Amino acid sequence: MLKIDNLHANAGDTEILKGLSLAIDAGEVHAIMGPNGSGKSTLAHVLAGRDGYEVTSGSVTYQGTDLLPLAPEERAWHGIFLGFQYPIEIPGVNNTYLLKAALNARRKFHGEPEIDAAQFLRIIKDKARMMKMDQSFLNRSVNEGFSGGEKKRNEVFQMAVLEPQLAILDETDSGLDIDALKVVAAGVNALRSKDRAFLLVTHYQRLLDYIEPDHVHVLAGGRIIKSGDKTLAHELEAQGYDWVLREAAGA
Amino acid sequence: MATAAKIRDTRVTAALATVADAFGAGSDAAAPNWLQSSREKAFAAFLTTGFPLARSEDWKYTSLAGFAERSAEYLHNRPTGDDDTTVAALLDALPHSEGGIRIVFVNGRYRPDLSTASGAATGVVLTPYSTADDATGRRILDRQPVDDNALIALNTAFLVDGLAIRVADGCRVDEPIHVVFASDGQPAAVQPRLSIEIGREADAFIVQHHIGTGKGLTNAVTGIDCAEQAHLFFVRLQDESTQSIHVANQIAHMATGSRLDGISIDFGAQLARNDLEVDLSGERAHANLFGLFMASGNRHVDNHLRVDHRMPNTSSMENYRGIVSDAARGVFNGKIIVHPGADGTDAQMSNRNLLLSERAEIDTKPELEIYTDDVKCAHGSTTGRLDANSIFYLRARGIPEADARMMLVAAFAQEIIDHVRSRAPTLATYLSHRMSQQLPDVTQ
Repeated sequence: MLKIDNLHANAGDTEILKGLSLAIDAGEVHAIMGPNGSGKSTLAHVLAGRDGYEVTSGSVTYQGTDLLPLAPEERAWHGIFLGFQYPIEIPGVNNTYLLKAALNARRKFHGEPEIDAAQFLRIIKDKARMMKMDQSFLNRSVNEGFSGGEKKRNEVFQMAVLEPQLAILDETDSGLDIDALKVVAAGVNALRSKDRAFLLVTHYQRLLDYIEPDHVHVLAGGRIIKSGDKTLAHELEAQGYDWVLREAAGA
Repeated sequence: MATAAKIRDTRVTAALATVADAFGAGSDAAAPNWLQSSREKAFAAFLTTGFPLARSEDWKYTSLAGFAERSAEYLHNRPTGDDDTTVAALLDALPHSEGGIRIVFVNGRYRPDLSTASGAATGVVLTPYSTADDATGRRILDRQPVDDNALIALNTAFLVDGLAIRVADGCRVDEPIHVVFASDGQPAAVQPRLSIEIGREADAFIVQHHIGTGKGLTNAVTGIDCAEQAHLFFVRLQDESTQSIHVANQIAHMATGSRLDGISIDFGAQLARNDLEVDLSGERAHANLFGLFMASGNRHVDNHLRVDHRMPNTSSMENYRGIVSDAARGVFNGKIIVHPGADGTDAQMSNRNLLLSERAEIDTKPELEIYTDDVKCAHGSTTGRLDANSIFYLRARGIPEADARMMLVAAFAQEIIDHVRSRAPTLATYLSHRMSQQLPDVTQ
């Protein structure tokens, strides 16, 4: 589904990603872990198409096509979703309105008619219930006045409504108490399917107690220096990143 | 710069001579007799001050040279009748009235055939100047600004008609009183006049709505008088043609315990200048003043606001927002004066602007003058671009960039419009609709 090959990317004059390669197949959950400043969030932003990053070499192929020339909204229409580490508050833009506009923009791109109003309402009510969100959140401005945990929950709620093919969750676990973490994880688990892939960017192993990954990667110095299965996450939790970094330096 | 100002001032002076000729050529036969002496007095006052000049501080950013010249031209060449086809089209586009009261003026004159006042509650007296007898007329004029400044004096001097609204003590009017001033695009120098008196403990909702087409010219004056404990919800909607020149003055006197909720919206005009003065002259009088303007192209919108806190425990809240794009220019000047003895005053003023292009310009100046100690006052202004993080967030959800920008601008404007919703949902929906129609122009 997603193939990243030897990706180099700059933020301003600084090279952040230095030859990153990664392949994700449909149905898989990948976790990217790594120390602060290793390039985790840059990877998430480059995949979502944020301005301010320059890809200097390498390629990103998504469902067989070159992802990099596409605008952020085009990537969304093709099924990519970014869950933000710091969700933005947008006063005056209603949550429900945003989701309806987002769904309809994608449907328009695929030549489909606008979503039926009753059907849409049913979807958002169901998903809000799943995310244990009060219905009143639906009619509030996007993230305005939400607590940190509510904002993250809202991100996963949006993902649940938009049903992406590839969901990139950038530190969705940070700042969550254990109850909120369980709700967020349950939301992700409910969406797992053979057609859908997840890229979880996280600093802590904690999230992976609730969302079991198929693959775990360590990102350091702008490259993936070690990959393994879920046991790698436990080793990192127990022993920290130093041994992986040393091992990579020695290799 | 100084030379340009001097040239503009010369143009203004030349126009003044022409206006004087027009006044001398004979007063308008349709104007009621009781207006005559006030008109002459006002014209004398106008002649001594003339049109405001660029060198005056209040007119630093806004030149009235174009207004003066168009006034001179139009006052000499007055249309003889209204273009009813154009007027009908303008009126058709308005929201359906929520309670049934709609008073229509065309080119400054009352048009009973286009007006409906049947829904007026007992206790509401609507008096077009042209229908007032001498005693009533004099009583109305007694409470009206005549020559407080040059533009008000000019309005009085060329006044032919107007509307007096009186709401009796204790009377609550839920349905809006919708006053429409329409310009049909003919060369008419229109001097709209609205006088509003809200009695003790009365409560009313009035909409002053300007619409028009072509190169209109409007010089509007509104006098507001709220008695003890009165409440007025007042919407001023300037939605004239984008080729028109529109200047407006509103002066409000607020007695003890009275409350003014004012919302001032400028969607139209090539040049718009709006002066609002609120005099909190009774204890605990309160004013909530909202404003919104949107301008693209090379349009110019100037809002001047002055609130006088004269008595103890008065309070005011001012919240104005501007959106400018292309080479448009917005001006905000808000002045709050807390007079000696006005202890316990609470005044909060905010002006926020969105600057959507490199060439657009905002000049904002919130001012506080405080002459007493026991006050709580704050003012602030911000001018910025659309937030890049918000745009990216929306795009990452699948909203196309142009739509994302429009969504954010609409949200910014909608927060002002929403203050109308509780009192008048139909009007709020209409305002949202008109606002969204401007979005492609201001966000492109």
